[in-house]
Amino acid sequence: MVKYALYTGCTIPYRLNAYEASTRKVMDHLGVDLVDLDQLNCCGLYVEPANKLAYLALSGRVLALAEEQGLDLLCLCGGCTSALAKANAYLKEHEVERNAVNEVLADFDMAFEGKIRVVNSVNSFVEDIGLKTIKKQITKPFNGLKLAAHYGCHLLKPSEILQFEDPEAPQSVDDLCAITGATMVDYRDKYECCGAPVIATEQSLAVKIINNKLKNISKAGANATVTVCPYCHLMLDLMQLEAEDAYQTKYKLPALLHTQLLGLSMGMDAEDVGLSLNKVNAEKVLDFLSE
Amino acid sequence: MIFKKSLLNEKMRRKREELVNLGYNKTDSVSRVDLNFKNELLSMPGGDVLKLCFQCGLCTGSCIVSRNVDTFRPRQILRMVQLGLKDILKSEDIWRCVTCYTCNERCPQGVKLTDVFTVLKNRATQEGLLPKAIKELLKAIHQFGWIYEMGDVQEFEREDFELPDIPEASPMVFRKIAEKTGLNRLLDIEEG
Repeated sequence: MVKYALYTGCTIPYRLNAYEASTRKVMDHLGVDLVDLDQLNCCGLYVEPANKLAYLALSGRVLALAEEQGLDLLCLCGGCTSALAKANAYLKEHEVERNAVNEVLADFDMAFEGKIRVVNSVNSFVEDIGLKTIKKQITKPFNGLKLAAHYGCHLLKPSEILQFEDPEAPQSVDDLCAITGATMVDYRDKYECCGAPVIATEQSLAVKIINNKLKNISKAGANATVTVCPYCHLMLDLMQLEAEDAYQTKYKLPALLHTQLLGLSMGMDAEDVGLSLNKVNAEKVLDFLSE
Repeated sequence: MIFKKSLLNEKMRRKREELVNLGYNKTDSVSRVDLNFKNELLSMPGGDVLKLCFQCGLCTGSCIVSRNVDTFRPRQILRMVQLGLKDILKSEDIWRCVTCYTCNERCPQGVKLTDVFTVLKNRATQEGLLPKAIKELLKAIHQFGWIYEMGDVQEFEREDFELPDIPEASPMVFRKIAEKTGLNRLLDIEEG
């Protein structure tokens, strides 16, 4: 049986509880066991630019919490995945920084040992659980729904650390969504960033980047987008409204989380996966579900 | 495609203006070279690879920010660092990298540009140049344990979904780590 320690981070509980709810329900449906951790802390994503050692200590402590449980760490957020996977690899390789971090962690009676893997939800679905197993649970496939997948940069890169798939031509999210019966469409600059990392420092730049993406997806004729990271999701969903304002246009392009898509095609209700919480009305995708 | 010369000139004019704003002009840029700065960055974690850059420009050609911001050129930033032009720390550009790692993946010399940007950001932070927006996020973690203050809205939403309680993060963990690593000082937060 697949079993993980779950790390939701902060953005999901604060802004995107539909993601956590749909993930827990889908994982439960697939027989995956999720263990909640106590006495967590921030992954340190925003601390890295200010002070690398402080970031490594924060990430190192989260990794040590999962190590205490003897479980791999499942992350749902691209930011957390990147911060924790990078720290995991870096601390294993660099003795000086590892010792410095462990000196800090000694205050909490903890130590980083480098015994576990950091797994993202897409990673888990495709590699640990397997598409064949998931496909058996698809009881209400979509019919005629055209979807545009958006790959979160931090799920794939740096590829030598994440060791998932070729970041120049990834397939995982398309393959995962295709088993729900949806038709995947390609679009220009598909693998490019959503712009979220600069939203705090330069919102206009982030909006410009996501506007280009929305333009390209609309041209490709997709009914909706699929996202796998809360930051990408907020860019394609919530910030779509900002882009519409800033560039005097209308997209009305629903953004679905991959776990919402899976949940619906496994027969769950729209309420179970929190579809009504999506900022751009996503009800119309329900019309594509087979009876 | 025919190059629009006027457009190119306009871009170069803007770039020059930016450099002048940073304190450069043709005659005094040499005097701004600081070899200690270069060696210092080389010795920082992740900084050692920057000497491998041979200025091919694949990073800039691959960069989504360069396509959207005329002045943002990773190749130029790398060159400024190699030359020891310390004033690069004052440029807003080092905070514009979206950390998408595309240049990191493609660099034929194996320069980990995203790591170099982290080194530059860390160094700029030491000079008191951390952007206010990021400083505010770090202060929020100091106060709440996360970058957000969770409240009733989140609790009600989670109850509806029958989710477990909001994950607790004690601010004490961040405070202790910030104190031990010297981050407190950079955020103007009193120790203890």
